[in-house]
Amino acid sequence: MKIHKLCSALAVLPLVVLTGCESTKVDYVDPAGRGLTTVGQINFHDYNEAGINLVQSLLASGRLDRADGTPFIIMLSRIENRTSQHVDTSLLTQNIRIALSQSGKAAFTTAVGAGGAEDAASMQVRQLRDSEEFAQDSIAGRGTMVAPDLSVSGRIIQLMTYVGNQRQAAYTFQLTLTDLRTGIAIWEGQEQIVKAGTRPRVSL
Amino acid sequence: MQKQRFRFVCLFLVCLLPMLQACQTTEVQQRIVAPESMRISVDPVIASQLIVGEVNTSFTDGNLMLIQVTVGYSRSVPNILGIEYRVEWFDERGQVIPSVLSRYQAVQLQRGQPQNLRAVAPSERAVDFSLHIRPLRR
Repeated sequence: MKIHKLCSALAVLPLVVLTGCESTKVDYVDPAGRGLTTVGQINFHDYNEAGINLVQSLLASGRLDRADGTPFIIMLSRIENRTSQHVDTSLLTQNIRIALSQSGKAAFTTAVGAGGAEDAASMQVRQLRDSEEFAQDSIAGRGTMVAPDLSVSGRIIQLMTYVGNQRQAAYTFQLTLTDLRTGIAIWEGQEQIVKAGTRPRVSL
Repeated sequence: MQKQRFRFVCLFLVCLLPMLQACQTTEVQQRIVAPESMRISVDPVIASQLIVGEVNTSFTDGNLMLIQVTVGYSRSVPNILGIEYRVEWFDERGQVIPSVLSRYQAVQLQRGQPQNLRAVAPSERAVDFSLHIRPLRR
């Protein structure tokens, strides 16, 4: 009886091993393409498209044009996520930061942010002022950091609509550029991405 | 008999004219693309369906190049054509300026409703551009 069980187990074992060896087809996807898309989620293409359109609108508005050509210093403020999914807002803001920095019209500070400094290093370095281990003239002096001129804040909003087994998701990306001296919004932009599809008839 | 043959030849030539005219129209549509062919490339799959019209360039007050290209869709079926376009920017030495803005963007064209594809240069270094149009990829 025991031998019978052992034989059965041995017979099943190669099957398990072979299943593990079964190769799954994997392809590289063109990042400039649409990729896999679902109605209920924002994908990388949606972030790219919204980001590009918002930056283009901001650059074309002329709000970042200075007579002397010096770049505005911008701090990244809060990007509110009002969708039902976990959203890493840097997927939206990073493209915007890169494009604005490349334009030469703006530079972003990492020393100030909505939830504290994005990079604490600027302050940490200054805490070495009393350390005898560091040459004091190599440490940034007092009053050398530059305060931001403008801040970028925004929202990502999701609106779902269901009709029968049809569903539609509208994602709105809103950005506001505020002049920090006056508190006045000097530019506002909004991009909408709407996706529609059908709901599965049976869901587990 | 000779007169009848002459009439027949005339009739044949008259019938042939519209056909020749049709060929001529296609050529004209292709010629619209030609002057900007160095700057504008259209995927062969949709080249015969797409009409590229006016190309307008200007600069913002901050010296960023702006372009606007009018495109139309000539086929009757299907009624809508999905396309993607991407603009590459070049500096005065003809070198490509790498930018996150140079990505494909989707547009839906409806028959008989020309649309303007607009783009702003990623930096003041941009003095020229090339526009690439292809069918919408899903």
